[in-house]
Amino acid sequence: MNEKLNAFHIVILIHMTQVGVTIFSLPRICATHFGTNGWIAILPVGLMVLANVALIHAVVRLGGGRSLPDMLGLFLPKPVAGALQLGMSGMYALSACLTSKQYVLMYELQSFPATRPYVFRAGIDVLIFCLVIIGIYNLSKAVTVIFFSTMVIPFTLLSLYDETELVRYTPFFLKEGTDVWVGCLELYAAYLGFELSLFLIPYVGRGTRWFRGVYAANAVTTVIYLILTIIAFGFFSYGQLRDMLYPLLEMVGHVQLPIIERVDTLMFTSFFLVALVTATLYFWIATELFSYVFPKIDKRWPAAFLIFITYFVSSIPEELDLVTGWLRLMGKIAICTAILLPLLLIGGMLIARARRPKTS
Amino acid sequence: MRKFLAVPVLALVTMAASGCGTQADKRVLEELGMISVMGFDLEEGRGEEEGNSNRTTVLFPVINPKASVEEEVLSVTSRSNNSRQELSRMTDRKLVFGQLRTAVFNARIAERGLLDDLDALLRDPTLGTRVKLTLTDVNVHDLLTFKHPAIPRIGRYIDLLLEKEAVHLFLPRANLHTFYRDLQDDGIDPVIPFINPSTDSIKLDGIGLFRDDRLAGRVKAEDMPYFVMLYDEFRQGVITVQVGQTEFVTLTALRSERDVRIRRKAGGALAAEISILLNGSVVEDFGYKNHKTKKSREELIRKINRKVEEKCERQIRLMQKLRADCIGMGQYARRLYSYPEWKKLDWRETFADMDIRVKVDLHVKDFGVYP
Amino acid sequence: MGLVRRLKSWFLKKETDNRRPVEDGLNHPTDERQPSFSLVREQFDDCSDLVHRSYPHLGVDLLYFGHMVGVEALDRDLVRPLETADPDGLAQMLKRSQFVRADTLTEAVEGVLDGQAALFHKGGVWLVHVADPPGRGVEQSEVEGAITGPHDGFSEMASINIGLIRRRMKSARLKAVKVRVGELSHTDVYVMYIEDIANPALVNELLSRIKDIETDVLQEANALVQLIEDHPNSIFPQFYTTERPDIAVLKLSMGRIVVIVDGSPTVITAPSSLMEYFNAADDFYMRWISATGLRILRFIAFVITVSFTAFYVSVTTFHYELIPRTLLVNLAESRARVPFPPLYEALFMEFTIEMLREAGARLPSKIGQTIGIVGGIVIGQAAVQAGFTSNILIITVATSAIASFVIPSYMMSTSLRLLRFGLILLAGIWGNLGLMLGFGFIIADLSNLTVLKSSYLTPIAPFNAEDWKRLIIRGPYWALRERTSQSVTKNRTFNKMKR
Repeated sequence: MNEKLNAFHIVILIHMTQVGVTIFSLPRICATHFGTNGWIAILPVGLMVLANVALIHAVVRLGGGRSLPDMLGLFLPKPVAGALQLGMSGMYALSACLTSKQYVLMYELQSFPATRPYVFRAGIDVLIFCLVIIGIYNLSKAVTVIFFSTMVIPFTLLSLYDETELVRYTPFFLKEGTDVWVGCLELYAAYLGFELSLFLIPYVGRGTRWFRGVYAANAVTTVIYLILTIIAFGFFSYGQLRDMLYPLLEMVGHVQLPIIERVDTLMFTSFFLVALVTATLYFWIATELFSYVFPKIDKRWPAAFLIFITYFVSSIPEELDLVTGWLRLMGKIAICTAILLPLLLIGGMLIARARRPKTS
Repeated sequence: MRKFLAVPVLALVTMAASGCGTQADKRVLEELGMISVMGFDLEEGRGEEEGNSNRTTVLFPVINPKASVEEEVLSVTSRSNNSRQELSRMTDRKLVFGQLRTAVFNARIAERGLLDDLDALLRDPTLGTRVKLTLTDVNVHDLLTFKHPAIPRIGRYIDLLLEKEAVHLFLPRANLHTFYRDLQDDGIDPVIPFINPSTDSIKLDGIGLFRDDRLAGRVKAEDMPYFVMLYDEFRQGVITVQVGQTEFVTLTALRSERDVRIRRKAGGALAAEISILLNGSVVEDFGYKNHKTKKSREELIRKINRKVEEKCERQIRLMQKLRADCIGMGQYARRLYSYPEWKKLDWRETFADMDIRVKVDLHVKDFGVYP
Repeated sequence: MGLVRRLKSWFLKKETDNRRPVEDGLNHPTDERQPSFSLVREQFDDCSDLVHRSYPHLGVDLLYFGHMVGVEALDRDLVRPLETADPDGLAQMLKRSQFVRADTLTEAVEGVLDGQAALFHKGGVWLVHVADPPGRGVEQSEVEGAITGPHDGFSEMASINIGLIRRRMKSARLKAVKVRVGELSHTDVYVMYIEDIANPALVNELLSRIKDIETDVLQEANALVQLIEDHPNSIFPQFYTTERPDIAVLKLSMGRIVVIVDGSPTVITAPSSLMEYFNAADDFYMRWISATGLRILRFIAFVITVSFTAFYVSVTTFHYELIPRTLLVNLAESRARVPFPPLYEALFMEFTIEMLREAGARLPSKIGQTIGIVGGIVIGQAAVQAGFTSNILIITVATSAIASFVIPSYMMSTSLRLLRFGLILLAGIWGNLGLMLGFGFIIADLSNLTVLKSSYLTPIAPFNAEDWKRLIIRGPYWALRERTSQSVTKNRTFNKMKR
């Protein structure tokens, strides 16, 4: 790599990875699982995520600049570390593929009801491949461009202020919510993306100051989620939010632009680039993990291989509900990884440090 | 190596040429029948074993420069609401709903309960929730085939009529989104306006008040502004008030703001006061009396205030009688109760027993350029 | 065994190719022999344009190319003195400064080829600087005009070009390194930079790449660019080219490097960023608010020219719900007359416009204007009336074409033309998602581009707020204080005014 990433790149990179297709279902998740004024739940979940990020920060500091395979190599024998990394690689690749599939299915709801998703997914996968092989530094450039082009979208929602009413929020807090823990898991899954920071270690400048970018990205994501859900809770009535599948999409549809009708289809199409970033970066993580285990193989082959295989695996669920279900499962696995992996690394490194004979 | 590339490239090119899998979804513009208005009627069941069946009417513009009509109306009767198959057999165009703007319901369907009929509209992701809703007393088919030389396109006419009024807020905005929202909110009931054909045109003919999803009653056409004053804020309204035997005052450029205050009385009942602040200009004073003096003007304003209050309170009593809280008193009353209390409460009955007063405060910006 | 090795070379990571260390000077072997009249004459066998004059009473032979020497200078420095000289005076004359002794055969041959006159006397060769090769003078650039600002443009002679730059930048720190490129053409390539402003690593990198070129003929700066750039397969131009000396001087002061190729009126600057292609010549001469407005216009024009027709195709084929109600019936009726699906209609129209454009470029100017009117107005109108295309499509295509002319750089607008076709194709088969995919591919390609190892997308990515004032909006002079970050210079400030 010829250049190093700095904090600003990292903020945008991680923030864009975190924001994905789940943002459209966020108000419904809050309403269903947390009840009236459920938008408040975003804050405690945000704090939990913050704790997780702090965990990763601890890992980075303990590791002293070592990249993930080196850290694992400190206390795990090679085959075990290899198997673990390959497993994670497969998991991330599958998540990425399912995310892009969910986007395609949601898009097809509106504009292409009769087309089978494999058509679009082929094109998208080719694009993802092109993006993954240009390297993380160039990838962060692409993500920055995408960030600047799509960051206007949330601001258009502020024009819906007229249609929100204070009384619709109801004075009751957190009533009528069901399955609070399921809701927590789903909200947590919306924040996933910060674990990318673990894999950025070899590409950043010296020291750990770059990690502030991760905290900043998390904060930005929390703020955006909060604002959007608050507006949604004022725009829709509570009962309505429980029923609608993609409330934010509906809301965007009410924004009126003078020249174009049905702004929601256009907005969702622009959102494609944001969903693309999430999927691409997860694929990038998967490729990195693969190349940790087989460092000599040119990176383009594992990328192509992973994309190819997951294309077929994720062809199995073809309906929106099934895909959402699979994604929920992958989300749970990813959450476990995000929490357990840093713990494992910390524990392992502390043990390795204790085991090492003290050098004078 | 390079020779092997030719095969996948060729495959891609042929795929591209054949439309690459999206052929089924090609909706080329000029082949479409883009339905702009859709209507539902109730047909009485002929036999006892059949229920009532629905008659679905669709209207879409004709894309043929040589055609003599501007719009085409198709109608089909079926038991479920998905008459799409039947309709698509009746035309050479591909019928699509993406440009649907208005859905018209016959009042009798509304009385039966609108949620089932709205299900198709709500579920379809290609529609969007800004589809406007309206009710009518006549057969929808007759409405949509209304012929008048000054109205070449009914679909556009209806759309603009509803849109213009909604913008000026002379009419509460009623679309899929607002209906479903107010339906699901336990503190307010939805409303939908009426349009009816008359000899000269199609006009707005009142507002339908709903109890849940059933039509319970209506606000008459001449009382519409008073309802809207209670419901939301005017931005550019016009009302004519009769202040004396023969004197009628017309106020225009009317802006209103409303403020709702609710409190609990001893004994558990509720009392509310709605203060309406009106701001307008007098543009006509029929049965003119000289209003040059300040005292005389204040007297006039007081009379107007009283008249408006009377009319507003009449609307409120209508709603209370119908047990339909269409102005959203429940949303304000929620604040007074704790959650378990609110859930136990029968809001409709409480609403019916409420003591609601209206206080109007009119500020006249000017009396026109004539004394 | 060969199969295994081939598999290995596919799968394993490639070694990054290290540049060979480059020898300084010329890339072709020099002939070290002593020059003599017969040897030199032999080199130019069958060159009947070589003029040989001899002055037997002096024992002097002159060899020169008649069309390459300046007649006056030749007369003044050689012919007249030689006619009136005597053997002693000759020896004195040969000591004069214009007469430079050539020591090797290559030197002598190259001297004659350069247009100098070779004087042979008693076994020694002297070269006289009388060269004045034919070429255009300083004229206004036809391709790159500006409304305000200087109107002189570069010409094909490198000496004139360097002169045009030097007279605007009178500083000894402005260096010009000369490299000869091309085995047959021996083209002079000058790399100019300002000594303590330009980054020396970049200069060296550029120089080494130019010296690495092993080709027969190098004629044009744009050809040079394609031989030295990082990504020759990309669709976007990577070195900014200009025909105006004032722009070249501006780039030099920003710390960039300017390359002049003899025989080419185009001058290259390196490194460049995508945003530079949207900067017009007179942006800096106008008031900053107007200039910023025009820049924004150019960015919008960029988006329009690339995606407008594609958007039309995708909306009329797949996304009818986006069309505003008031336009709906009109659009549908105008399309109803056309027998083709929107994709083919659009491709056909775009293709026609491209043909018109190419034809207009190749035709002599007298016929070109007529074709413009005939093609644009008559054919367009007739096509609509015959039902070949819809008039809204004509408007769309015409707007795209006009928008592409708004972009100041010809290279960039040519690249965009090609992109437009790709996007139309994608939009026609996959609708709006295809359009977004197209944008994704463009972004991927742009992100991968580097110019001399620095990012093509500065200052958007990597983000540099300071550069936005210069490259994206045009900030007022009191706010522009530092040179562009892409030149990686240590000498950042150039505007030291207090205000």
